[in-house]
Amino acid sequence: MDVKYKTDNKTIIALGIETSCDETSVALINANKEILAHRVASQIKDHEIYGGVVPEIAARAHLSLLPGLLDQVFKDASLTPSDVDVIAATTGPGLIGGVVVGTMAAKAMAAALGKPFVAVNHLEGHALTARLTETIEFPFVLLLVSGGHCQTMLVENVGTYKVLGSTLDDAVGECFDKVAKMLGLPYPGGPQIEKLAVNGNPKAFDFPRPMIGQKHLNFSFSGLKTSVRQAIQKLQTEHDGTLPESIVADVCASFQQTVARVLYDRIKQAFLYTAEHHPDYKQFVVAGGVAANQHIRGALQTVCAEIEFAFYAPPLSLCTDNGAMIAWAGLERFQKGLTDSLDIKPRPRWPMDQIKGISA
Amino acid sequence: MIEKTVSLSELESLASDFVRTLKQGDVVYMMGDLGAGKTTFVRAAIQSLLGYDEAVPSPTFTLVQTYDSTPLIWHYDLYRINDPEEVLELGLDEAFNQGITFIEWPQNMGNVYTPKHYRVSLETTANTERRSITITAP
Repeated sequence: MDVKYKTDNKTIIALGIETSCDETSVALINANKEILAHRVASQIKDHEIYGGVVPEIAARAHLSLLPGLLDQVFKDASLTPSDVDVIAATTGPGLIGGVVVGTMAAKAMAAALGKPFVAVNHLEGHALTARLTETIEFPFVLLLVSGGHCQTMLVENVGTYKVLGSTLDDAVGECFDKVAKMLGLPYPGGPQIEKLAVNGNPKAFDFPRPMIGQKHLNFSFSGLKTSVRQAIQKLQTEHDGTLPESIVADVCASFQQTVARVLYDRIKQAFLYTAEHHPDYKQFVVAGGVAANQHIRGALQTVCAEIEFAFYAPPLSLCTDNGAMIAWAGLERFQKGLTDSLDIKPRPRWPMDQIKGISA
Repeated sequence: MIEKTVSLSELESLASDFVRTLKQGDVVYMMGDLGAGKTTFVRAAIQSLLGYDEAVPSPTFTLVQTYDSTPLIWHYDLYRINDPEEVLELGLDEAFNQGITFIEWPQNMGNVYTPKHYRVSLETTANTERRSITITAP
């Protein structure tokens, strides 16, 4: 009874640490879905946590960035580490150096404070983010489209995921960035292509649409990338090296339209498969940085309307890698009793279907 | 040294044969522009050594992917590396010791690591379905 009394009167607070790729990020959230504090190192414009000594924040410098970020989020939230009920960190998949830093920090805090530790799969963080910002119940179909990922999955419950399809080669965001680079556009390429595409003709070039119409649920974008490169090289030869703005706009519009068509088709196939084999799925969530592209988002909303799936997209700030999604996934797992022992090892490779679920 | 022009499927069988001549500790630099076929070559090599069609996504964003083949394969893509010092975080020492290491865009690591290496150079040709390939030994 004593324990129950405490949980009723105190909202559970979770600390989340993300260090699996480029970003070092830390967040504090509570079970009322309030983000109490959230810091992403690369997005800090001022130098408050370094006293102005670091002119440029290096990517993946997790070890030097993490202690300052931890101090800062507790300051932001006016909390102390002992106020936290559960400590979560990304323990994979990702760069081994990064996940070791985040995992070790979380374990050390959990041990010192006597708090439970949750080992979060980075992709599970993305998969559950929509539940932090929206009122969405299980189950739902998820499309994760970012620089590094392109996959669809069935999200049945906390810890229970079934991958439907994945890219066999390039991720969508990577394809956008590389096409932008071929056109001499600045990084990141996705927003640049979207901006220029507004003034272009989406039918100017007929690029291949990899896998369109095929029954399986995988993706492929490498062939499209190569085809765009060949088209650009040919155009550059025709125009003595420098492409007129109108042609750049046409390439952007045609490429973006092709990607949108392919995603429309792949998601349609995923919905048709789901409707046949898992008819209780009626909701769709898109996560990842590519979801910011309005043209692609429109294509996804169209297919949702056609096959009668409700459409959800978390805010963009939570679509890129961040600590809040790890804190949230940690909190969801903690609430289901899915905590982890401190001897768990980081996993550079960790497919989603190997995540420990409620029944496991 | 091998130097020839091949179709994409011949490129894959070449990769499959090539990887079988490698041993633990060997390093392969993959040279060629975007879309030249570097990842295609490495994918075929990995699937050949594993013996099944494991998904081999591009490591451009993740920077490295590892595969549980015998020997282990470490597949790096340093395309996004801006400063050679950044590669110190990527576990290359371990890779060089433990497995076969494929590195795309190795020029981005400058002189931070200078292992003996095979060099696979790929170029597109006028025929979009064919690639010219050159392989040189250390």
